[in-house]
Amino acid sequence: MSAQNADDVGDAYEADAELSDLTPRSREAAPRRGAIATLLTGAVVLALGAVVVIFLRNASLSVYEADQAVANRTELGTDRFRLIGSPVEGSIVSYEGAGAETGEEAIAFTVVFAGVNADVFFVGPEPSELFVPGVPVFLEGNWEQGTPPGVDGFANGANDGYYFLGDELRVKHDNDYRNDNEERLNDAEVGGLQ
Amino acid sequence: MIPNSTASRFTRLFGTGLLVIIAFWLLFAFFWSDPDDTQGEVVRLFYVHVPSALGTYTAFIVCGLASAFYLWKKSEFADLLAHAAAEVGVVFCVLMLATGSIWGRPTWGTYWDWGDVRLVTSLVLLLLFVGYLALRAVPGDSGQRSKQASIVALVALLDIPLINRSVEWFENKTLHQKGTVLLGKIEDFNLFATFLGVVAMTGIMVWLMVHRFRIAWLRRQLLTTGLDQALLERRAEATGDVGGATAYNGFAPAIAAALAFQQTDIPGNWGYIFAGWGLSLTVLALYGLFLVREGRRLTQAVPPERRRWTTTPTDEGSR
Repeated sequence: MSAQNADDVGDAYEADAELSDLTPRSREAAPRRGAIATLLTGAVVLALGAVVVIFLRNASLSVYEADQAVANRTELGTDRFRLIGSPVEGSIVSYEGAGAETGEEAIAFTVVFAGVNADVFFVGPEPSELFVPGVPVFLEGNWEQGTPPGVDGFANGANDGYYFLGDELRVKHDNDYRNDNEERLNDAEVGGLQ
Repeated sequence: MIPNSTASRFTRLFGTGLLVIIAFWLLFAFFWSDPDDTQGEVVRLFYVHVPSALGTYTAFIVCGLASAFYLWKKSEFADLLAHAAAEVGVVFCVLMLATGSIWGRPTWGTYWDWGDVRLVTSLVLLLLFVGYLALRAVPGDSGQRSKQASIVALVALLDIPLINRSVEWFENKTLHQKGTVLLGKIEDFNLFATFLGVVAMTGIMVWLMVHRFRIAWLRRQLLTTGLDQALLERRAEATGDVGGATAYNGFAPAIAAALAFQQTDIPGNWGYIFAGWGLSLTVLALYGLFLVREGRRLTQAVPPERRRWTTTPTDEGSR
């Protein structure tokens, strides 16, 4: 900036300052800002407390892989817990109308973890598009004895007289981000680049 | 040379370079990288979510280091830098949580999971730094307030390792997937799109932080010269400029548009993708605009001889 520009800035400042009334303003505005800041600080403390309480309530829900859930079935009884496993190929069957009253989905399938199968009947919101065989899922619900109403049996399932009745389903996708391009390159290497 | 805004030759050159990087980031993220085998097109949210997360951590770590330095040396520079970094970090943290939630709906099947350690600890981090900013605005002795805020920042900083390691410590108990980039789980142009995102978002963070620091410096200069905040309000009233609030007013429509967009039935989850990207770029642009306008307004209010943010403040102005 040239000296002339610097002078202009200074002049503009002085002119502007003259226009501004420098007599003390009412101090009402400052306490109001202070009160808002104090209230906000308090609200943040309360929100932190609420988050911790909600998290601990959720964390108190036991998490079992399918093999552990089957092994501990007697102790678990009808207690609510989280079940982890991967849907078995060919086991997913949708039951239209089973959850029609609430507008929810009803899906029977089997999950596997460490070679142990557990049959699942899920009634709840439509799962994400990633709900496919082989991609692990988190379910919330409890063990029930027998078979779900209207379901004769689980395709490729355990069919051991128990099923997990779930009402929440989350898909746990992995951390591997690959695309067809790599597969094509691998195929090319296997087949030999002519 | 007397500045008449918080912009400088450095910020202008840096900003221009950033625009070029952002253009390439968008090209790689939307056109030159392939969809993921499992997730399909929605993987494109990865290229904005992960850089937002890294920007968040970086800004809060800068805030923590500056806070520690302030407690040690009582440096006003460090105190103002900590304040600036915290505010920028909060903006990035909001974007990290928002893009993560938008990405979560088509992949996990939910926007939020209260049982997930990484999500909840990230929300705690946001709340801690919102509390930090609120604490700094509470009236009282500014030296005491800076000291208290510095301690809050250092405590909040402890949350970052917990967020980072939670996916390893609770691998089969938590919904969030493990780390990706450092484990080599992403390759080719998808990796490069992520890399450009990290460079672009880090650059944006630095640019915002420089402007925000200079604003903090100018505010301190105003207090030093005895022209208190009331004068600023008077000047704003006279010019009809209400402290850049008009820029902030754009946030609500941006958020509303993002929420509406993701509900649309655009095939391939493009509604979610546009919502996440649109929200991020719009909020950053509006925040940048707000800082530039606020910086220009404050610069005009400060006497010319006190407009240099590189000079040492006078003793009476340091607290």
